[in-house]
Amino acid sequence: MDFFLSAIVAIFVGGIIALLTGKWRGVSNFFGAFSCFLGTIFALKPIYEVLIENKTLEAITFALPICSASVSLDKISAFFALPILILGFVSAYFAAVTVNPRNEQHPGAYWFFYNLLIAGMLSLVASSNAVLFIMAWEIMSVAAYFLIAHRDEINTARNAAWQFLVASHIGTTGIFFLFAILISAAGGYQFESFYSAALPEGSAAVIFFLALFGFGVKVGFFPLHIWMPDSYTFADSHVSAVLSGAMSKMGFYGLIRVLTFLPVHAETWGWVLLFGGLITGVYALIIGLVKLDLKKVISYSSMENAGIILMAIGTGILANHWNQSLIAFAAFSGALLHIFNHALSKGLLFLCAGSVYFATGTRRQEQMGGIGKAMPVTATAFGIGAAAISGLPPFNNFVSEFLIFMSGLKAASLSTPKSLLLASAILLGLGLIGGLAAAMFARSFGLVFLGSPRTNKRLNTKNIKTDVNFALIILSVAIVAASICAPLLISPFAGVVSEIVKPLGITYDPAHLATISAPVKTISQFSLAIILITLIVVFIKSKYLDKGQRTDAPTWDCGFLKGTARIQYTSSSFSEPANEVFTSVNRLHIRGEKIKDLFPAKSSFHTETVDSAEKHLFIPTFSIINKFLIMFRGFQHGKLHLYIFYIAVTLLALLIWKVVY
Amino acid sequence: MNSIATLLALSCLFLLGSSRLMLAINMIAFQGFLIGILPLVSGHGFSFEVIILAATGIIMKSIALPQMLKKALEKSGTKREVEPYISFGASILSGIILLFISGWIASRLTQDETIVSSSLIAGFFLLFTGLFTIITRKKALTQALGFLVLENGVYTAGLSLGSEFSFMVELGILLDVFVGIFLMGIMLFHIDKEFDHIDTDRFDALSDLELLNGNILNLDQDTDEEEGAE
Repeated sequence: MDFFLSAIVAIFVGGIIALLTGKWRGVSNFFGAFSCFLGTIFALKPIYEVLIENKTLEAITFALPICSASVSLDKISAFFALPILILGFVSAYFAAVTVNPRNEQHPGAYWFFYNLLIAGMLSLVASSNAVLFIMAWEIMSVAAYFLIAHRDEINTARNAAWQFLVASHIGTTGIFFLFAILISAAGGYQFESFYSAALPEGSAAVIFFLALFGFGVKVGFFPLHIWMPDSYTFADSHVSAVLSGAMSKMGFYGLIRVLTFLPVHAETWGWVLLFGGLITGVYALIIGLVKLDLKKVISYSSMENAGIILMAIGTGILANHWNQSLIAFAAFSGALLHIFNHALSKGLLFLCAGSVYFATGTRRQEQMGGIGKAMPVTATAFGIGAAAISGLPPFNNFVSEFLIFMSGLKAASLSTPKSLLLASAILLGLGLIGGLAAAMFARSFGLVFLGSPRTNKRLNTKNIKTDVNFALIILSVAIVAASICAPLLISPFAGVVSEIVKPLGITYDPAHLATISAPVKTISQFSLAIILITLIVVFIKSKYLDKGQRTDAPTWDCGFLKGTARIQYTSSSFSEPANEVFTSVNRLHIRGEKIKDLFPAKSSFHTETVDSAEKHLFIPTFSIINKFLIMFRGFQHGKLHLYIFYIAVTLLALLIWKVVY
Repeated sequence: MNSIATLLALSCLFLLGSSRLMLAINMIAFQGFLIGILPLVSGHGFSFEVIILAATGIIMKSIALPQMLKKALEKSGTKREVEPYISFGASILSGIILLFISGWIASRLTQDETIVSSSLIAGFFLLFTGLFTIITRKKALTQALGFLVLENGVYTAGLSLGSEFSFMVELGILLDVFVGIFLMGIMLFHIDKEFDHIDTDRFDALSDLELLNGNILNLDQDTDEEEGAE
């Protein structure tokens, strides 16, 4: 535990030093990044001890103003610290080599908030006290706000950060209330006292739904996701990687942690999570499929994966309720593995998007194209990340989705009406989600990396530093390793699963681990084979087949005489068939004229989408609230006399009230 | 004691009814003098500390601060308080109502209702008059005067309520007031220089309210026009 705490302190102090030395860019950069490297590597040791060696670390207790608080690291905390450490390390590297040396005005403030975010998240998972938990949660949110708002000269970035702050505070109210209920029932602030809390009738459900609301904001549970795409888009790429890969996982951590406090899980909760997750996933893909901004596409994919994980957790709760321990075990393991895998692949994708942005200076996919030739490493990394995140076979997300599928298949074999409903939701839902995700990333990959450049703007390859590629390579290798070593990952994660269900009084049969690892082993052998064959083929191709003469020639140009890059498939044309189907959800706005005559005149075409949840739910709601609150605006008129009049009236009223009673 | 309290109340009513700023400042100086001799007659004896306090009070409140305010008045070139929110006649009437309220509060505050300290009534009345002046008058200078009256009220009420007479605390408060008025004088000068007037009701020209009203609901920012944030 000492190690973990000193890692947190090292990261935090490094941030402060970076802030103080902000004038000297190199020094500030060094302290900020180096403390991150040091802290994340230090913190790996206690996590290794907890997850692999099954040690229990001694909790450290210290005094807070209201109560004494303790920090400890159980298996759940250790598991959720993993994404923070990996992405904290890689993103710090990415930031150090790219962003800050470029033209960043405030490297000091930047590193300070980055390190604060990482330290906040690490203390969040370590805190086993409600007060400490909320404090860390708040530190994390505020640091994230400042990181998103870093480019505050851009109006949209400011708005995105503002939206994030409002959303996360609305969520925090839910968390406050749920802890208030728990504390009053348990009579203490420590998490241990919550396990034995005598909850009044019905308050367990209230706590669960408050948790779903409060933590749902962070994970992007439909329709609480609206802050998410904008914030991830306008934050710097490595910040988005941390936000999406690590911070949104803190929402899952909170949800799972709160679930462990509740002695009985109702069946309804499982259904809510299952169908909520399904709607979240499908909705995210439908909207993401029409988005033009590369980082927005990746952001919506975060939301989609949150949906998958929520579905898996819901399945686990349902299966526990039906005493189907194998299904529950497979579902929970799948959920945890997916959380881990998603952190890796999402981090990689965001870093690739950042790398592309340096080269092109834009995030609009319509203006890119042909980048793959200039940036082969980025293209390969993006390809790996995209394939992984869509759950395609050789990569790790396939394994985790396979586990969730497996729980669905087992549920189908129970053949009760409810289990069939569950099975169909999982099998059909995951099938649809997987297909749409593959389409979405095929579109992005094709538009960005393949074809030829769509604008005349030349690719500014000077900006591409080869150092950047190192971060991409680390994460790509991590993804490949996680795919091949999936069976090795499952057994420590199984320990986490048993910790999650321990308060319910359920222990899983150790044989289940063998049952689910057997197919996973086959899959990873298969993945290894595919990866090896691919590598061999690539090697042979580069060695023997690439030597011939190469010319650039136009492809079939549909009868146009002089084909330019502009007649390539655009992102709108790629997603047009899907839009036709889902137009009731995504409400695509199409402007432009149809070509009527034989000799077409000048015409235009323009599409745009607004997130339906934002347009039809949040904007109306907030304008009603606004209409109500605007009545009080009259009190703030800028007239000094009346302000003093308020004070005088209050004083007089208090005085009279005091002398009368 | 009673006569001083009466004079204080009268000076307040006079202040409420006069539009000439110079006269108001003189009235404040007179009030300062009355406040200054209050510790001498309030039954605390004639110890060294009381005399020092009285002397500092008189010097500061009836000589130094009025002089400063007079200087500010000359520089700003204003002579009269024009068009207050509540007219001078109505102000005097409100003053009488406030006097009644003060009497009532003071009578409720003292346990033994037969002996209501007249200086306590005067203290509350000064306090209310000060607030009333700040609220209803427009010139920044009058507001400074109102603040001074308010402070006099706090001082008087404290003196008649407090059983323990704390020399250091009173001196500290005097210093506070001095600094406060000093700063107000400087600010008055600068405001006058920048705005060509010292009318506080026109200060809200700088308010950001209009700006806020136009921008309250700006949720729809799904525009990709601005490329940002890498």
